[in-house]
Amino acid sequence: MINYLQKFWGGLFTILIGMRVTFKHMFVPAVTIQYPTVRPELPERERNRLYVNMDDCIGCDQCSRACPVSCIDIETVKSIPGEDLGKTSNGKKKALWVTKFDIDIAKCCYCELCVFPCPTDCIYMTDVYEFSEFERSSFIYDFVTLTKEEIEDKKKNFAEMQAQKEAAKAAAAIKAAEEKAAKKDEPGKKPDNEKDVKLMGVYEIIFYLFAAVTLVSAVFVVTSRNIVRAAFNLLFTFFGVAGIYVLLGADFVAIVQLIVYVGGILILLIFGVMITNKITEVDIKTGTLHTLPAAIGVGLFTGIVGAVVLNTEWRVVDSEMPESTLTTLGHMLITEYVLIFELLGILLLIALIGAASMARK
Amino acid sequence: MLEISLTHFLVVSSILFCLGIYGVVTRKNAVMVLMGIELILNASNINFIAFARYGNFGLQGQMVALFVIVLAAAEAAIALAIVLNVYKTFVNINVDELDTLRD
Repeated sequence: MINYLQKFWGGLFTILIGMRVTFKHMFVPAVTIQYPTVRPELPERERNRLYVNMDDCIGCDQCSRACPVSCIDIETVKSIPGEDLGKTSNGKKKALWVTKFDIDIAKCCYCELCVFPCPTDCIYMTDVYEFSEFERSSFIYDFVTLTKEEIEDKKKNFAEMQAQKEAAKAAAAIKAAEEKAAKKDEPGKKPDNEKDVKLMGVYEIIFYLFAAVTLVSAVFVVTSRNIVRAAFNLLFTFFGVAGIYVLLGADFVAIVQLIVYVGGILILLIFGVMITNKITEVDIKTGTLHTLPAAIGVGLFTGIVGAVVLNTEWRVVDSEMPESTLTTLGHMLITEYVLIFELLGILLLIALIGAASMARK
Repeated sequence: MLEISLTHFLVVSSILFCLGIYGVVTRKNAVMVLMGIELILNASNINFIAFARYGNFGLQGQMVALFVIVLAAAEAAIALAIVLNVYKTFVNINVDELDTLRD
């Protein structure tokens, strides 16, 4: 009997020991959450479904090029002159109609690499993580805001503009040929639209002039045996480059080029030439090394770079030249680039002190 | 005459760049090497400004070009100070003959 009771007690006791853990958990708060009704808090910088704010998209294609799995597909159509597409929220001008902006979210690897290159911050990761579908094709998200008719319309407009341009070109060519013929026939008579033709050519002529000045004097800089002559040719190179800046609408940079390069660096270089040579003769000579292999190598390099430049289809945006870049550059210097601006100030100070102390020794 | 496009500017800048490299590689005189470097910097600046004009980046390219000009000024000053010291130590500044690190 005693034996039986002992066994009974032993059984009960071990059950209670076993149940202890269970009982303990009755007083512990639940760790599972009731998912659809209760949602876990997402960590900061969580990467989920992509979203594109088409109001800000300029169709620059940079996100598509950054995507390692090429899940973004963008097509754009150029706007015709006079069409106003509005501006993005950070003041960039839109120039392209985005006719296709598909993101295949099934391919997306959530690397966020497309987000960083966007100049207008219009593509970003949202906090939406539930987007299962029954069809694979429904994973392709279409962000385009234009309707199909509008897209057709834009494409047609662009094609028409292109055709018009072609036609105008052809007409101009025919007219030029006719004029030539007419001139030949009656050399005394002046054609009516000669002024227009001339105005069209001025920009080109100035460009070729500056380019020739730059390149020819640069050739003399690197080949002339007389250092002082080379330095003076460098002056013309800097002038030519400044002219090219003006043609590119960079008036302030051109002025800075003239002041800093021509007024500062060149004078410094000539001082260097004068100080570091015993001036016994009038012309100061310098030797050259390995000219032939260098010429061959550089010639090959020029060929490669030139071929790349000529064979690349550059995506050009036709923006009109700004009136003056000074205001914009000033604003950028004290807002977006203020840190670099200050750092450059410190750098110049360091260079100044360093150069002075080094040269004084 | 051909209409001037981005390609024209890029061709000019690439030729200028290669001329600068040629100058840096072939010249004996250290000051002439510096002139070659200035040519290279100018070529890169033309690229920056051409892309600022023909791309949709606003004026960022011109900004970078300005910074490059500032850096070129600092570089020229420091480099010429070094050249002066080299001249004081070795009496010539031919880069092919400067092969000792101490005097």
